[in-house]
Amino acid sequence: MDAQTTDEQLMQEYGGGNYAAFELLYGRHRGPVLRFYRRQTGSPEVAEELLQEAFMRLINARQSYRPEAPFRFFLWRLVRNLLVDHYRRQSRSLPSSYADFDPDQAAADERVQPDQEAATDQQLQRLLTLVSQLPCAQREAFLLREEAGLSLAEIAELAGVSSDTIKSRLRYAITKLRRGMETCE
Amino acid sequence: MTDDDLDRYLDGDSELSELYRAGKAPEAPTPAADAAVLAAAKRAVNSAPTPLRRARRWWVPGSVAATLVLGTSLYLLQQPLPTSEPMLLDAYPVPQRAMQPAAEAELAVPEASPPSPALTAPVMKSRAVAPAAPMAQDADRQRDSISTESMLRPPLEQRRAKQSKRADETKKELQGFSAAPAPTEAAALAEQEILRDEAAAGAPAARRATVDQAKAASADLAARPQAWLADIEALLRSGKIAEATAALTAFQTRHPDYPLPPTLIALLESSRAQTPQGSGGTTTVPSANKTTE
Repeated sequence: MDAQTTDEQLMQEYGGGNYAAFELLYGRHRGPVLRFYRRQTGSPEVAEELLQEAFMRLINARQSYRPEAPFRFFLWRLVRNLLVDHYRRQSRSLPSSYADFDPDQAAADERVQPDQEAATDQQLQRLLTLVSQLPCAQREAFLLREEAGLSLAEIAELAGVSSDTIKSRLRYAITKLRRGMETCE
Repeated sequence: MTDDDLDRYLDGDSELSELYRAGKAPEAPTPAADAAVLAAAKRAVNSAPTPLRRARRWWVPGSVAATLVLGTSLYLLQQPLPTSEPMLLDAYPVPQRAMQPAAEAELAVPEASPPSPALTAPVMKSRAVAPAAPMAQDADRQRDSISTESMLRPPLEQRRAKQSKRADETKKELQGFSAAPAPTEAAALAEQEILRDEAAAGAPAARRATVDQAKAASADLAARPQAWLADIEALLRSGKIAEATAALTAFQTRHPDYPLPPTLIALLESSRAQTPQGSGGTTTVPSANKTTE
């Protein structure tokens, strides 16, 4: 096993009892998962708790993983579902932006703290601030695209909505971010 | 934003994506979080059951399930089959007719209470040998107060022959369904018939006496014909015609070929003369007409 080994192979190895395969997988994906949780919840502590929980679920699901499904999709579906559970525990419902089919009309969700720890310059700080100001559903689409590298169809399947809905959410998010960056300039 | 702009973004050609990727500093959770996750992963691998242990896990529940299935099947197979005896006894009128004098039983066949067709098919078949004309002629005889009247009318030898023939038929029918009733059983059946008749006639006192007499006769006298006949004579002499009739019926069922002593015959004739005709309220033959379920 090395850096060239695919995620699918590593997961199969781990399912067969190879602990070292999990170490490699964890090292590859813990960063994006942590950033996703941190920029969705606005809290580093909550993000770390969710990270641990997500990988615990992955450990428990090692026997049920099938290599036919891309590991990336398998992991991020687990990550996203855990976040939805977190929303429901916090406020017993998903943020309203998830139910707004017209992203332009999406109501403002509760703002989260921008992830300033990762900002190395002003532009990045501005961008992360703007990301934190996006409605939750649109921010999720943006982050799944940027952090997980998922396609429109994969994001739509994770969110349980159509590709057109994800397309609209992304379009709105990108538009708002660009306007915000232009305003900053 | 146009679709082209979105497509370029989706293709990765976007300054926003570049700027965002620049912010992807190596993120790592706290060492404690890392340690917790890795420890859990190691525990999961170490505690995973081997294929053999996995198979063994299923032995206990599998064996329990198999035991339950086997036990349930055995229990269900052990359930007793529903007995048909009550239906058989209720529906099959042969014991009634067997208790009757041969001529009466023979003629009473068509008047029997409707039994189960399946059970009485062989009975009806064997009854076919009985002539139809006597049945029609002797339909009124069934209403006689004393059953001995029909026994006395034909000559003794002819009557004996009929009794013998009737007993043979009865025995054959009984063999098809059950063993011929033992003497005590025969008397018990006669007792039941008498009880029904007396209940219909509304003579509870006579019925009780008859029941007692039938019980006494069946127990001790079945094996001693002479003593049995003597007892019947005693009943006649004491005026207990109903009891005597029932006992005589039972006797003739048990000993169809045994000749009746002349003294007994005389007593029967005299008792017949004493009893009013068609009263229906004193002594009645266990008639098939009256005997119902």
